[in-house]
Amino acid sequence: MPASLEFRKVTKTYISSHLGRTRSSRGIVDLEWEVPEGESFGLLGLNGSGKTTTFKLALGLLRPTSGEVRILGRAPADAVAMAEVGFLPELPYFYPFLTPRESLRFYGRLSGLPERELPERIARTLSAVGLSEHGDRRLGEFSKGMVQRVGLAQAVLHDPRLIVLDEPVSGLDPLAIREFRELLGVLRGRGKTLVVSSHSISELEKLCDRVGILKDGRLARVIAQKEWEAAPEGLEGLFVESVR
Amino acid sequence: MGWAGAALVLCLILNALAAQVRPTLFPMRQGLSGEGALETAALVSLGMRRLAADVGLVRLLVYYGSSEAEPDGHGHGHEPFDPEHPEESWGGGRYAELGPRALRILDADPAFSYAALFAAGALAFNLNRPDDALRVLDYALSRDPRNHEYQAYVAAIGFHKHGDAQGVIKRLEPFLGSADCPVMIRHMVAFLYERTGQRRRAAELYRGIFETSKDPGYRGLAAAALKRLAD
Amino acid sequence: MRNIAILAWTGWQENLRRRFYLVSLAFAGVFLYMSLILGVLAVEQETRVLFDFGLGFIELMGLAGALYGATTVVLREMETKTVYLVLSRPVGRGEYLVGRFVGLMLSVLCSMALMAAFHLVILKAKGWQGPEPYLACFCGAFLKVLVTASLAMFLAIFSSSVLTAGVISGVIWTLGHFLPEIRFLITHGASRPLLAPLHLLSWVVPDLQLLNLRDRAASLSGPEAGWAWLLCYAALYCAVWLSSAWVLLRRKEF
Repeated sequence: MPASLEFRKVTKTYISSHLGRTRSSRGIVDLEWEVPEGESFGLLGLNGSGKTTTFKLALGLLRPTSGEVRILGRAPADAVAMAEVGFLPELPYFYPFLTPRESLRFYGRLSGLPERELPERIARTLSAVGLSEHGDRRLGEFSKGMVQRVGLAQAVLHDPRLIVLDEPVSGLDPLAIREFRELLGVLRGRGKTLVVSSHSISELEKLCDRVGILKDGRLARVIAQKEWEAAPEGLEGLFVESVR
Repeated sequence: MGWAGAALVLCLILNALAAQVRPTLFPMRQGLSGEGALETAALVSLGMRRLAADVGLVRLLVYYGSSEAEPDGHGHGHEPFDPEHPEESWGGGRYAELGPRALRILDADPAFSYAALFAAGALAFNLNRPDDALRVLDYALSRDPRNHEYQAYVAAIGFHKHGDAQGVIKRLEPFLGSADCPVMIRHMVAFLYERTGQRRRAAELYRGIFETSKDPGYRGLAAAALKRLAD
Repeated sequence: MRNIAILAWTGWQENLRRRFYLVSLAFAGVFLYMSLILGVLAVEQETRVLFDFGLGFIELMGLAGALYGATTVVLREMETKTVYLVLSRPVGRGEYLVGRFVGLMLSVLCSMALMAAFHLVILKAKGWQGPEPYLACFCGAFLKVLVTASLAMFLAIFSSSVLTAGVISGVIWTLGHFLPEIRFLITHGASRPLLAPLHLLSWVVPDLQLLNLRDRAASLSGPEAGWAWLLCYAALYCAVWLSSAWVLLRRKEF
């Protein structure tokens, strides 16, 4: 099966300079990682372990210092590949003057969806994330959880092959988390590739086929579902063991 | 940084072409001095030369419309007339700043013929300083040599110096309907008509002033003249 | 092109809802008040003063809006991370930049046109009949704002500072209008070594006097440059600085 996402010995070092003094800090180091098409992969790690850096590298928002990243077989930011990718950043922010319906129309158009398909797709996606009744309210009036729902909606609107979700359940109430999980389960069932980062170990346990643990910018361990199911303390135990 | 160099070179080529296509636009030669220098500099730097000239005109009108503190004309930084260097000093008299102010207005906008005609008319026909008036017109003509109105005023001032009212009328008559003709000049010509016995023409001109002028002072004078002519 | 149009449209929509056009209403109020005063002061030249004051004010309002927009639009989206959701789609960074710029300038044009409509109504009511070509003067003002905004957008991305970009753009606006004086000084001035840096600069900053048709409305400077040349100059100048901004943005990491 072809890989949806490939990292080949990727290192990212952040370099900043101020008043002639240059400082460098580690993002990720020698990352070797592959997510096959159709897999649901979770990334776990402590704060600052490199999860967001990894996602940004995959999407071309950052460039690797060394190594190579491929997304759907192409270079990051390649237009053909990006049309097949859905991305939900951590704490997404939307234009507050737009309504969810207008936002989705905007993102749908940018993703190359034909105009005639948009109204129906938007209605279906809004319904899937539980925002049918709030589609015409300004986003500036939305709570954090509702914004997160819009974030998920824009990530799946164009029916992408690869969905990258950075902390998708942060700020959501338990009911919304459950609805999110169900929606992601449906997408998984339709053969979509999911790459999800989260601090919620239980969510990743329920959603993923494999989980990678990032520690200090390195992929410390990749754990398959059957491994954590066999472990006495589950995924949580394995995670603690890996990051300690 | 190759792209930055390329961008700068492209700008340079564009500006060089621009300079070829359109010669440099009237630089200010008189320098900034006197009242309103700061606001002129500010407006010019914002790309508003015409507005700077407008503000200069408003100041000139206020100056000419106010009674002077020193009626002998030795106020407002006025330099006494130096016959050795006539180009460096103005002829003195009342409203000594009128000429220099007009030149500064023309400097900001050389096409502002109303300002030149107003100042020249006031200097020549009201303040009896035809040489100063000619200096203003001379400067105006140096920047706009094809302006027939300026040329006519120069000729009219010449006739005025020799007391030839008919000559003045003949030179100014074609321009009385011009948008740039100050009401002061129209009023003066009307007065010359009246003085030379051309009462019908005088009445027509006074009526025109009374009906169209925005200057209430001249409207009042025209009304009085019309009453006088009717009696 | 489709992406540029989509981004431009959303930018326009954003400015509309952010009440960008309130500035037009403010203009109307200030202008109405000023026209009453200027009418009394300028006497026979009332319409000329109203023409110059109004168009000058429209231009400055347009410039303020354009500079604010050009210096903040990209930096704000980088700060709020809304740019992630755009650039993680099949949208090139050049398309993003041009789309945002076009959206901004469309908003500025609409705002200036609204003010101009109000200005014309007042002028006509006061009996203005020319001879100044209003449309040409208005277009010249917009082209000046357009060129300066492209430079401001480049400076904002280059310096990552709204303040720096705004101040430098303001200085360039001033220099661009002083080019005749700078070149006059260079050809007639005494201390040439002192003027050398200014001379060099005068060939790089936009020649805003070239586009300053309002000040040339009744000018005497010989044959006017044709419209094709003026549009070409403004378009090429914008293209140079937007391309430079794109080169910088392409290298930027988010």
